[in-house]
Amino acid sequence: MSMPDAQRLKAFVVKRLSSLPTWDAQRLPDDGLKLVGAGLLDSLGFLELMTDVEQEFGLQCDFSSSEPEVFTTLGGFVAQFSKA
Amino acid sequence: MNTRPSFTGLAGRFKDAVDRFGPRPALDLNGRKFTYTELGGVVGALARNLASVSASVGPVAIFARRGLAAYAGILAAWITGKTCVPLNPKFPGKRTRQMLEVSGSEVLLVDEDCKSSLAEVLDGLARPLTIYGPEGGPWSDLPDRFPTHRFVTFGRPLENSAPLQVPELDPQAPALIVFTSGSTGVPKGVPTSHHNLDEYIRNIGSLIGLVENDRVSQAYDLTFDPVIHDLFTCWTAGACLVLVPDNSVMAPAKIIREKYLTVWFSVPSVIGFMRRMGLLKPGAFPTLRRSLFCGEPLPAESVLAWRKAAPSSTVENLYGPTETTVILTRYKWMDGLSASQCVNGLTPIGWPLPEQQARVCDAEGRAVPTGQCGELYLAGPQVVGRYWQDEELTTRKFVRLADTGGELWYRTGDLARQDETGCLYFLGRIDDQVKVRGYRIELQEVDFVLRRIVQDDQATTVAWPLRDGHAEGLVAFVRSSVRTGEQEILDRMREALPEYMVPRKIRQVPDFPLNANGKIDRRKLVSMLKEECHVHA
Repeated sequence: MSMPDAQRLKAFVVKRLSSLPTWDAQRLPDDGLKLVGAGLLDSLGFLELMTDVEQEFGLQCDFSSSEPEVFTTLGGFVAQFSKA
Repeated sequence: MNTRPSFTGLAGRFKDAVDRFGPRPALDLNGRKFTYTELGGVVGALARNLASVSASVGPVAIFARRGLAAYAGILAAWITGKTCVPLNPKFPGKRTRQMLEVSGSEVLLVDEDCKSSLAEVLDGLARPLTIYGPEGGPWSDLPDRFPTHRFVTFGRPLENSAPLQVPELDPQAPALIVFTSGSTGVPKGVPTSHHNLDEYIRNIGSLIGLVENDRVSQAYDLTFDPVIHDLFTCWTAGACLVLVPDNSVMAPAKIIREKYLTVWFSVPSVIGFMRRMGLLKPGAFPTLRRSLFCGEPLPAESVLAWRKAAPSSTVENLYGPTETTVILTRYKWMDGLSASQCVNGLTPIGWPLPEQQARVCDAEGRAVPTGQCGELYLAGPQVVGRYWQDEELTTRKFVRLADTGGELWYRTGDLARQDETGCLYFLGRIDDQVKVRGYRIELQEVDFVLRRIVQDDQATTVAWPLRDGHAEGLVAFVRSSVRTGEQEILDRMREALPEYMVPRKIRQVPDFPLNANGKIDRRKLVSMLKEECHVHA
């Protein structure tokens, strides 16, 4: 599978996040947005998001070389999948 | 002549460690390190301040993130003869207020990180508290807003040092009140005595054999009693406790590698999460030598995956309800043998710790024959013996069995069977208690909140999805006639319950399937969810 376009991937993730009851519509989805630990997603929600992205883009992600404080932000998460 | 008080509990064991291991590292907080001498000094200073803030021996609640203030606060409370009530800053203010009210807390120790969420906790709290925390910042307007409470600020007590002195403690006095989910809508308190805790650490410490060079994980929340295991198995051995930050708890690959951890202790769900994230590479964790799991069933598959990632590490499955002080049974995984001992793909929960007892009983409390399924009863010096200010529940759950010499047994509500060697196997629950990522949840408590919101007694919750023997979350069911929307239901549940107790989805059904007793049939609801999964797979 070829590398997905980062913008398309980010749009997919933001759309998915915006459907959550915990989503704050007032907040801009910048790259520093914390996905976990700030009330948006819990650890299971993070895995569900990961699975959705894997299914949508046909990817298998590997987080072994990245840092939790990075891949749990919107920008870091998208970047991780963009290079998967 | 120097005479040592006769019983000083875990506080005394900590002081012994400070005296013995002084210059060795005791604590690593995101790179900030404390030796035993330094940590002992911080505890001494905090205890001195706490004694001056409140002469009463009423409980001290700790509203702090895992870290120096929380750890030192637990010890300082004990040293000043007070009971410690750990709170969780991640819980909604309403639930924290309930814990403060029910426990009868008199002092609230707050750390720098939690000051900003203090107002939410105090709003509506009738019980007057002495609130002790660092000065400045978001704290400054609170004394005017909440005049019922007395605010005492300190400068930088965690940077001060004072000699550590541990007085004699009453072994039967409650050292800790841990709250778990309660079926009546209010969390129930489990008071663990100094004696219970001391027995546990003495027992488990000799079995797991930590040494000075160990670097030990601290991943459990303060409101989970295994935190006591983390702190005191580590410090009584002279080892170094390493804080696992919140964002790494479920995916700790990096911190295990970079901090050269030798001992890991967490809920088994961590293994499942790490597998799915590609974090369990063969040989990934060469430094680990002891891996302990407790809080929910441990699937054999997870053990095998962990053993590949940590080939030098033993794996132990630990089991115990809060009512029997952290852990009461233990099973050590043996390659080549254990896989065949697993029942339903789950690792056995093993044998009781020394001086503790387990027996599998029928509905009348009589022991069932070896190999038969029944309710697991536990007894011994670790059994706490009561709930906090709840005599009715105490009478129901702590019972004396005539044929065991009148000893007090705790009815776990867990279904188990025991083989001819005495090894125990967990088979499920007899009631509606579930575990989600190790958190214990009474579904009745969630239903209580849900039903109040939708104003309908026909509403319920089930554990779902289920994966590798674990419940990963909850799904709520309401009737189609309910007018309250999903978003509003979830928002209001979030105001009352911690995140792990809030359902992930609200499903509508025209009517509920009922069982033979005329009650909502949760099994049929779960079957419905399973079928949907098969259809969509």
